[in-house]
Parts: sequence; C-alpha cells; structure tokens
Amino acid sequence: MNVIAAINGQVTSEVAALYGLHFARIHEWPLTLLHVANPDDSIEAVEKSMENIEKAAAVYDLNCERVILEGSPADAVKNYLFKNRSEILFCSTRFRQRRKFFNLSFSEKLAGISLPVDLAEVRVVHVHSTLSTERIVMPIKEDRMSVEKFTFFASMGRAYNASGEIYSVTVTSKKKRAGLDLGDTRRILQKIDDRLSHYEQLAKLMDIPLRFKHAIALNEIHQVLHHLSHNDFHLMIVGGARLYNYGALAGKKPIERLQRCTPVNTIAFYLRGKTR
Amino acid sequence: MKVFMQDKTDLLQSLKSSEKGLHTSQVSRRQQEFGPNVLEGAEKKNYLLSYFKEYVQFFAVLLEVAAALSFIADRFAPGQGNDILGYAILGAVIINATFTFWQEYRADKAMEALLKLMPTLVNVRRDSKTSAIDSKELVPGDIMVLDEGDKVAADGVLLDATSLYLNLSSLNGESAPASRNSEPSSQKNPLAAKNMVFAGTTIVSGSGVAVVSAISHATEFGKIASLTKNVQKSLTPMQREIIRITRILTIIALIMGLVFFVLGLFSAKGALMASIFALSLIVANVPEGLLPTITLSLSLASQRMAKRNALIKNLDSVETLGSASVICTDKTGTLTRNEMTMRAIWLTGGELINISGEGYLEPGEFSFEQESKTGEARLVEMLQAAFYNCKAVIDGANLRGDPTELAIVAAAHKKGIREASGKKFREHVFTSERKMMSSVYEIDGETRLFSKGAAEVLLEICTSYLDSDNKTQPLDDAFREKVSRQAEVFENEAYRVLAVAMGEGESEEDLTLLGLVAIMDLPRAEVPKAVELCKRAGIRTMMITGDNAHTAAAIAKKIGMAYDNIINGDELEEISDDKLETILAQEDILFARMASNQKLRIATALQNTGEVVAMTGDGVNDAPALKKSDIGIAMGKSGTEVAKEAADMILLDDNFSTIVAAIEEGRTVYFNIKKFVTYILSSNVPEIVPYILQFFLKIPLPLSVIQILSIDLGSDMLPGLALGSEKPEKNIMNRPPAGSQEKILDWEVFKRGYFFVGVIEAAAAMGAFISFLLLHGWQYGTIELADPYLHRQAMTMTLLGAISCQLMNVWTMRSWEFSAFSLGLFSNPLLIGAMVIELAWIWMLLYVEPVQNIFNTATVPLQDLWILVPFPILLFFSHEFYKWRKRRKLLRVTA
Repeated sequence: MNVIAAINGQVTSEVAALYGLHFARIHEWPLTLLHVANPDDSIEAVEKSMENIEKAAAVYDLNCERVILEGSPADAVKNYLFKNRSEILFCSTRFRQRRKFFNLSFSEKLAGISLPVDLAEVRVVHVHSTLSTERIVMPIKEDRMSVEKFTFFASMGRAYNASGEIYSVTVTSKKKRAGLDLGDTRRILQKIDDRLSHYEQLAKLMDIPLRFKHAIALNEIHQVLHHLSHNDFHLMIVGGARLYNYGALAGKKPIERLQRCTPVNTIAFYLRGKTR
Repeated sequence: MKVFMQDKTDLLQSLKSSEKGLHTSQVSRRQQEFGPNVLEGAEKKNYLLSYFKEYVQFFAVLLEVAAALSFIADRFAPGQGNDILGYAILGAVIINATFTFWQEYRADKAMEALLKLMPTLVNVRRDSKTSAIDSKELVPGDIMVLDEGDKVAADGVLLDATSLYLNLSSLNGESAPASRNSEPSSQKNPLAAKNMVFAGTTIVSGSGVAVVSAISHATEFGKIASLTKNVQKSLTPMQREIIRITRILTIIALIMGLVFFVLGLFSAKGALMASIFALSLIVANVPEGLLPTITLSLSLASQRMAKRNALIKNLDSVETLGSASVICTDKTGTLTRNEMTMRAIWLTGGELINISGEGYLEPGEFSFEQESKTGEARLVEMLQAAFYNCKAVIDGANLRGDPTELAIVAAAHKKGIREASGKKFREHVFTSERKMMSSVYEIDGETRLFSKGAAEVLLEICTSYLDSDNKTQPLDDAFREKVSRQAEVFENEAYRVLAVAMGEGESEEDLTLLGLVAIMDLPRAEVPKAVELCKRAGIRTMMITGDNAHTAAAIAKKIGMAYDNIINGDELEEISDDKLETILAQEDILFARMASNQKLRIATALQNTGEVVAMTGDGVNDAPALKKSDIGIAMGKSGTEVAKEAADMILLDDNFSTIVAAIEEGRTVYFNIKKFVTYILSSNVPEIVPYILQFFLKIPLPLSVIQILSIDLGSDMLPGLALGSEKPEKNIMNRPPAGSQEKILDWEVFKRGYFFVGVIEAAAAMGAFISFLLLHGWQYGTIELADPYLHRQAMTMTLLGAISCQLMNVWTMRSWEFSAFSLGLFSNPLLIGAMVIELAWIWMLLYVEPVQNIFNTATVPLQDLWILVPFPILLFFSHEFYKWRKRRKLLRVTA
C-alpha cells in the first residue's frame, strides 16, 4: 500500500502533496510522487516540487519515490492506479469559475471516474496552512458520515496532532423552523448526537480531541461558510460523492459551492469505487 | 509555523516567489489555480420568483380555489354575482401576496458597502517591473508595492516597511493607525502580527512592499464579508406568530369547511352547492385583511419611531423590538456622551478640586474641597501648563483634536485661559511607548517646558513639586507614593488620569510636578433612567466594551447597570460555546476588553438560550453581529456605512435611551396587533354564524360572501389600522418582553374575539336580520323570499349589524386591560378619521346604487334601523365590564 501525490509543479500541488505526506507518515506508508508529462507543466518546476517534498519526507524518514507517466493525464493515472495497489491519491484542484462540461481539469476528471483508490482533492487557499494545522473541521449533513470518511478525518487529525470538530448541519424550511422551540431543537440535536456517539468513542480510543457542533439552518452551504469564517480552522474535510461528469447538469454540487468560497484549505474526500 | 512567523527567504521560497515578483507565466497559471481576487457579493434575489411564491402559499391557494369555484358556479348559474365574488377573492389574494412580499423582501446592501472598501487598482511588481493592475488579478506570491493612501487589496506579509501605518478599523474597529514593520512576528493572531497587511485596510502613512499570502475569501476581510453575507437570521417573533396564526386559522377554516361540505352532501344540496357553501365558510373564516393591516400598522409605527430618532430599515424589526429581551450595548457614545470631561484636579499641595459642567461646554465651576491660600494661583498655573500642551481647539460648536485634549481645553476655558502667553517653538511628541508629551515655549525671554502624560511616567522624571505654600519641594519616594495613591483613587472611579508638570529649558528633565487631572467620558444624563426602565420591563442589559474591566464596572455603577460577572476578551476566548450559553442563561455579564468580532459569538450564544437580542455596533467588523442579532442597531452619527447597511435600525442620535424608547414603541405595536387580531376575529363570528344557521334552520341566506369580503377587506381595515396606532398602554414597560410569555394569538384572544365579542356581534347580525324579516311579514320556514329586494334589505341589516358592532368594538378594544373612558376621546386622531369614513361607508351601502349593486345591499327605511342600536351598546359595556373584572382579578393576585 502507498499514498500517491500528483505533482504538476504548482505551489498548490505541492501543498496537496504535503497533506499526502502527513497522511502517509501517520500510516507508515511510502509516498509516491506522480507526474504525467504534458506540455502545460514545466518539468523543472515539477522536479523542484518533488525535491521539496522529498526533503520534507526525509525529515520523517519516509520512503519517497518518483513516477513520471506519459499520455493523457487522467487516463494515465487511472491505468497506473489499476496496475498498482495504492490507498489514496492526493491531488490539488483549481478554482472553478463556472460549471464546465468540456475541458475539465485533471482533478475534476478524476472525481468523475471509477478509481480503485480513494481520492483526496485539495483546494488550496492558504499555502502555509500545511505548516500549522491545529484545527480541522468536517461538516456533515445531520448524522450522515461514513466510517471511511471519519477514518480519513481522524487520520489527518492525528497526522497534525490537531483538534477535530464534526459540524452537523440540519437543513430545514423557514416554516418548519418557525415551529421549533428550544426544546424541539435540543431534542433533534440530541438525536443526532446519540447517532454519532460511537464516533466520539472511536475518537477517544484514537486519542483525538474531537467535539461535535450542530446547527439548524435554511441553507447548509451558507451555514458552513459562516461557521468557517467565524472560527479559526486550518483545514476542512468534506465528503464527496462520485458523479459522472455530466450527471450533475441540474446544478452545482455542494462540494463545488463550498470549494469556490472556502476561506480555508479544503479536502474533498471521494471514496474509491464506481461513479453513480 | 504561521505565514507571518517566517523569515523573508523561507516565506518567498514557500510561495515560489521572489522580491522581483512572479513571472508572467506563473501568474496566469496561479490565476487558474486560486481564482480571481474578488469577493462575491450577495446572491441576487429573484424578486419576481419570490413574489410569485406568495401565490402558492397554502393560505393563497385556499382562496384561489375559492375564486375558481366561484367562476365555475357563475358558469352554471350566471347572474347571481358569483363572478364578482371570484374577482373579489382574487383581489384579496393579490393584496395579501403584495403586502407579504413588501414586508419580507428588501435589498441587502451590506455586502455592496463592504465591497466598496476594496480597491480596484493595485501596484504590483512582476518580472522586476512595477505597474498598476486590476486588483482582481492578484495571486498569492505577488509583490504588492504600498504607498500612503493606498487601499490594500489582499492579505500580505511585509518584506519591507518605512514608517508604515495602517488603518485597521475595518477589521478590528480601532481607528488609531497601527504601526507596521517587516520583522517576523511571534504573535498567534494574524491581526496582532505587525508584519502583516490586510485586504480592506488603508495605508495611512509610509510605504512598504508585501508579498501576497491570501486573496479573496481566504483573507481576514473576506471572512468578515462571508460572515456578513452568509449569516442566517432567525425568524422574527412576528414572522413566527404570523405563520402560527395563519396555520391555526387555516386549520379551523378547513375543518369547518370540510364538516359542512359533508353535511351538505348528506342534506341533498348537491355537490356543487355543498362545495360553494363550504368555501363560503372558509372565506368567512380566513381573515383576509390581517396581513395588509399588520403591514400598514408596522409602517405607521416605523414613521413614529423615526420621529424619536430610531430609523427602522426593516418593518418586522418594529415588532421584534417589542420582543427584545437583551440589549447588548457599546459603551462609548451610546451609554456615554463620547465627550471627555475633566471632573477633578488634584494639586500637589494636597487640594482636591471638583469641576462642574458637562462635555466641552464652557459653563462650570471649580470648587475646592479644602480652603487654600495659594490653591487658586496653582490651579491656574496647572491648567495653563496642561493647556499649553494641547493642539485641540474648541471654537463654539466647532471641535478639533483629541477628546482628552478637548477636555483640558474646555477646563482651561472655564478658567478663562484661551491662548498661550508665549511662543511655542518645539514639541516632544506623544507616542504610545513614551506615554507623555511636552511643549517648549518662550515666555518673557525664558524657555519653559510643559509636560503631560501618564502619572507613572512623569513621576519618574519629576524631581520636585509645588507645595501648599507654592514653594518648590524635592520629590521624594514618600511623595511619589502619595501621588500614585491619588492616581489610583481616580482610576478606581474610572477616570483617565494625567499628570502635569513644568520645567526650565528644552529637555524633559528635572521637572516640577503640578498635579493630576481626572478626565472621564461621562454617562449620558438620560441613560440611568433608561436602564432602570429596562429592569422594570424585564430586559437584560449587557455592556460590551473595548475598555478595561475597571472603567466598564465604574460606568455600569454610575448608570445603575447590574451585572453578576465581568468577562474579558481573553477569558471569552477560553470559554467554549456551550459554557458561554450556560453562563449567559444564568448571569448578566459585563464584557470588557472585547474585540468587535467577539460580539457575534455573544449574540449567537444569547439567541441559543432563547433570548431576542438587540445589539449595537458601528464598525465594519460589527456587520456580522448586527446581521446575526434579532435587532441590529447601527449608530447614525459614528457608524460606518457597512454597519448601517447591515443593521435593522439606525440610531440617529447614538443614544441608548432611544433604543429603550424604540422598544416601548415596539411593545406598543405588538399589543396593538394583538388588539386588532382580536378585533378582526370578532367579525369572523357574525360572518360564520349566518351560514351555519341557514344550514340548520329554514331561513333565507342572511349574508353573501361578497358582503363578508366587504367586512374583511373594507370596513374592518381602517379601524384596525387605527387600533395599530394606539398610544402605549400605561403598564407597557412593566410587562415582560412581548412574545416571551404572551403570544399574539393566545386563548385570551380566542376567548374575547370568538366567544365573547364575536357572539354578541353574531347575535346582533342575526337579530337584525330576523327582526327585519319578521317586521316585514316573513314567516319561519320560507327560504326563498318572493321579494328579492326585501331579501337584499334583510341581508343589509345583517351586514350593518356586524359593522355597527365593530364600530363600537374598536372603541372598547383600544385598551387590552384599561377602561376605554380613561384613554381620551380624541387621543387617537386616526380612529376619529376611521369612524368618519366608516359612517360614510354605511351611508354608501344604504343609499349609493353602484355600491349596492356590487355588495348586494339595499336602502333600509330609517324606522327599521333602530333594531341595530342596542347591540353595539351592549357590546361596549359588557367588554368594559369584562376588562374591569380582569383588572380586579389582577389586583387581587398582585396583592
């Protein structure tokens, strides 16, 4: 098993790779620095980035290897992943101005195809956050959280020795909210707390400081963005669902909306498997 | 390690940049990766869609179905006025939708005001060349070249700084410029790091070069914008109540309609007649005029509030004010006058002098606490020394300069000191590090130096003092201790203390201490009364100030603001949200040394404990808290545009007592709405009962649906509005906050509206109808009258029975608890106007043919109208008796 970090020579891919490095370190897996040669990326910049990551890996005695592929980036990576046993792929993603259906970025293509590994798609807004990540937040909808997502969140928490927060947002309508008094609200939130309590136990066992916070909101994205701006988080982890690229014509996915306006570095975690 | 902790080389390396700037090829790629440096404004509302949504609300759909069925009925049985009914119902739907839309939607311009703080052009060094570029093209790693007057477009770390001062007020509310340097910082908080510059701030002086570390939403300013934009406001108590009222009344209407539809089917009336009958009942039950009346009433109240210096931006806020249970207020300018006043002087001879007068006004007296021979001369000498050190100017109403200096100048003016007798030729400037300043004068050929500053600093450089005989004495440690003790006494009373000294020559050495001055920003005269009023009204008041706990506590004591505990800004950071909620649920807290961004936490925690929060603010960074709180209150005089746009109410005079006055007005509106809801519900009974009786008894139809609508949307509206503008009840500020215990639609409203006044009105309507028919030869059992004109006259009597009772109802409903006789006949001019119009309306129903044709009415002989007289009188006195009994019961309980 290993952890793969996709490098393109940009500062953002270097940051994504550093997150990968810390994830690999905590699991004691080797780190593979992967690049697909293409005319858009300067090979000098790529080599410089790889050098920087290798230097950082050396501090932790972490094995690091370089892999340079050729061909169409997404296809080359997909083929590579199917041939080699890997655990997770870290890659950076770029700002999305508007929804595109053609000419998708590397990370967008990867998020839309079936892969045998998990995918951590990193949107970087603060280059230096990897140096001091003290607080990590994972917003979820009500009590919807998979074990895999929690494990990834917990691993990042342990890697950085950071405190974690699971921010549960319950979406409701204006009228329903009008009918909720303090007692009703507490009951709803208590129910969610009860359902998530085993994760609390798990966090204790893993020795990760974890707390749960709740919100009842009319709009989950606005609520999460408000929470991020109000608190001093350094990393946000969100769960992503693999959709085929042209399947979400109806509107933006919540992840896209979050990644667009996030004030903190954000990792969208896509579980391995088929697209819906 | 944080970005501002790195040294220059590491910083540039990690951002893959250099002092020469980024290469053009790097820039375009980074623009793709990081996106543009723009803050997204508020999402544009689709007003048309929002307006149409009002037509698919359950309430509206119900009436739309009724209108559709009226048109269908007109198709099958034309000429019976069902088409007019259909149009009238549709009219009611349009009126309701329009008023609801008007009340709920308004342009949110807070984000627009915030975005104006961002520059459009910025000087950037790329490929070793400096040029002005569009600020949205900035990327992390870019080198910004900053100069005096520039607005900063992104967060950055300074690589070089020359006498750089930054105005950080948009982020921390501090108006004093903050010095910057390029040394790596060891602070935890980026705002405290002196080598950082931030988006949305301005370079006050100096110049510098900074590397961009964050752009767009990732900047500190972006966070404030995001907090302002994405805040999700809770529903106001009124919105909750309207939803609740609509739900309850709709359920009642539906159940009643359904029951009578089923009964209609079994009574062989046919499905169409049964459904029309059921819909008539639904229309009768639905108070169509409720929402327009509430909206208009709130609108009138907001105009009254504007006259009391409270400018309401959002209509719902009028009523929310009445529900406010906590006021979180700033200190400076709101509780206090924001004018420093010198209140006391201590001379080194041991004399304590009190000074009267307020603010910067000249009238005022100096009164010595002990007799002193030379005291007056030394007092003048000291005031001169302090005055010679001031640059502030008071020229009538025209004030210029620092508030503390203005206080000194005002005190000097009181003693007749208006200008220096010598010529100033040098100044040792004040800095926050030195904590003192001095001015050197040439007076009568001699060089004299006058100093003022912190007592502990001047005590260090003074070597002598003037004793009570006006003789110079050496300043020993014992006397230093005495001066320090006196300074402490003043500080304990929340005074700002300055020491004043003078000396020979130009240097700040071997000075002679003259005394201490005690200066304070005094509480506004009307504030203690307002705080007391809040206490009686069950409203908690909490001070949130940037000042220290000492000053905050002293001011709280002076204005009578009770508190259980003081929490400092640093302590608040250590308290978890849950703990804070627990504390705020149990204790009244005085918040000292607070940063503005902590207000949002306090507002959220209070709301989570069920409080309705009114919060004041003036800075850009107050905007999120103002938007989050139930009532955001911006300062009209000292507030920024962003704060004003984010707030629900603007205080034109920045005065705390205006908030309390506005709360009183809000409570009045709340209870007035309660009164007219009862008033409107009362008329539902005479609208419903005729249908029920016609169903069970063999009588002609007493009231048509169009006549029901003429009551709901016609004759009830103006008196309802007049009730909405009634003056406050005598005990309005002795009750708990509106909505906390007493809902608008509670059992008492039902009891009075439906089962007390409503029953009398129904008896009046039916009494008038049956009496009129009997007087004109009708016999029980005749359903179809041979003379249709007689039927219209009888229906007119039913209508007039209900309207005449409502005319009297509005007079007795003017007070919920007190006698109508105690209110004064002409104290509500709007009500007199409404009465005149109502009487004109009745005349039109009786005598104007086009009106009669629309509303199915007819002329009734004057000799028959006497039937209507007893019921309104009965209603008035029985409701007055009801209120009297309530008052007596309350008195007994209180006793």
